[in-house]
Amino acid sequence: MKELIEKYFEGSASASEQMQLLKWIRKKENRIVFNSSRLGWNKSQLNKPLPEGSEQSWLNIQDQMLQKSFKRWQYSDKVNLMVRIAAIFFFVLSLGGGAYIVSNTKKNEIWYSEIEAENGQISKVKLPDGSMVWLNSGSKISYNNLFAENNRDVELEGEAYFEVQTNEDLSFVVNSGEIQVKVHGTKFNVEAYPGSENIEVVLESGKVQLLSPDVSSFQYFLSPGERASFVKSNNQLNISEVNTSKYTSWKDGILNIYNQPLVEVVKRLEKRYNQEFEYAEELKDFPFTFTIKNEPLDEIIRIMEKIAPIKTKQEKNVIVFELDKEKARELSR
Amino acid sequence: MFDIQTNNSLKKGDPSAFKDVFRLLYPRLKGYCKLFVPDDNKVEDLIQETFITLWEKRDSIKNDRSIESYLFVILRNNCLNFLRDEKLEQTISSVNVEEVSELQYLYQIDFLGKEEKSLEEQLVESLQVAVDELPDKMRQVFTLCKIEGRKQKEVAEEMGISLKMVEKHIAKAKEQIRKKLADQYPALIIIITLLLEK
Repeated sequence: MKELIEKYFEGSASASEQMQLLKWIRKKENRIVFNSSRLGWNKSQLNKPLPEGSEQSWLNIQDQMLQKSFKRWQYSDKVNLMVRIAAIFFFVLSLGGGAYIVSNTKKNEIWYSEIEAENGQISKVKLPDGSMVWLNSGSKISYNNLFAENNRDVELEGEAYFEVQTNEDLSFVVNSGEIQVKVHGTKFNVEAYPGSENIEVVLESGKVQLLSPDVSSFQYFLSPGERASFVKSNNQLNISEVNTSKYTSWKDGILNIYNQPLVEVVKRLEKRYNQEFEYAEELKDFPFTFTIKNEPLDEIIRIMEKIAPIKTKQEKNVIVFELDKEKARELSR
Repeated sequence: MFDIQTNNSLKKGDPSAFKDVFRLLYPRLKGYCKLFVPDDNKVEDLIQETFITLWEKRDSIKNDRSIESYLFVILRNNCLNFLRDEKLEQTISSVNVEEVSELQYLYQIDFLGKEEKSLEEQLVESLQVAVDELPDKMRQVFTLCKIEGRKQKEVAEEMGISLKMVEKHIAKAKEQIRKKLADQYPALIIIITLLLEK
């Protein structure tokens, strides 16, 4: 039985062996034997190396702990919890430490670091190559441990603004599903939320190349001040000239709503303020134009009620937009 | 059980004590998790989350509570959340306790010192309670579509609401069920949020 117990502790007991052990341990008098073998086994493991197959797991845990402690440090430093709703959190992660350990011990293994801005937050991240990334609410990026060594590839889900360090030898590539953005050193914004129909790239300065992972013949060089909008459903690329600050100001906490229907406005507010909304179907397409800086949500809702024939009510945790019939009547007069 | 010294060192934030705990318990926790989660990568994720939660909540470990039982309960909840999220994606055709994995009792005795309710029963119970607490209409739609397995279109016609509304009710219901279960295990809120985003 002792052998079987040890096998179980090591995680190598088969299902039938575990069954045998269960039957045995269900007898109360055997528990004492079990507990003392556990103590003995625990002692025997002191100073032994990690169990086989758990090394990577341990490294991942270390890495995540490192990330979290940095995040927490930044939180406690700056944030007044009362205005958390409106506040923007910045945290800078340095993942170099964790990556270094692994690349030293395990030369060939590839693993990924992922950084995420939760709803209600905007995060500022410094990548190992010195490039800066602002992650908009509900977005994440990931890159592997060889980043800045033999690649500068990042995967993006959601929206991010990049300030890329110049490095002619190693191009910086943003992968966002259907579109790749390849750059050398420049400032640009990519919006590629998984649920939305378009992928949008806005170039502030420098030069970027748009590529498709599926269609090798496709490429387009974007000029500063241009916005590329890729429609996923029909693979169409539209280019327009824009005022870039409108698309990039979110990184400074400014949210521009310009002639957008309520559906879109709600999506943005939900992300930004981590608040759930509902709206009456008839209001879906009602257009709004306003700019948010760091105002608290209730103030924004007050403004929306002022500029449109809507009223709001709170149902549990959900804010509901309804048509204000009186105001609508006044307007139509 | 770990000795009091390990317990105290861990509370103080001693990384080597944490590593000891990991070294000793990783194989068994993995064995337990595998009983419920077939995907090895997912098993790894859940176990890593469990250890990270232990590290983050190390201050709140009471002296008279063993680290083993603490870790075990976190992992069990993680598995529960994982299974629940999987369940919510399928038709929950019968809210019955299906096959109960017998071997989990071995781990319960090992980590908790006694046999408790099976994870499968806990899952069904917590789902049931959460469904019961949904607002009327939402519960009706959710029950018809997800538990009785009726077509969404049919349900929409029958109840005189749009298909979109049905979809919305279902999405909202899922969300609420998840939230409800998150409230039951407040210590695990971070993990639940992570799961929801996937």
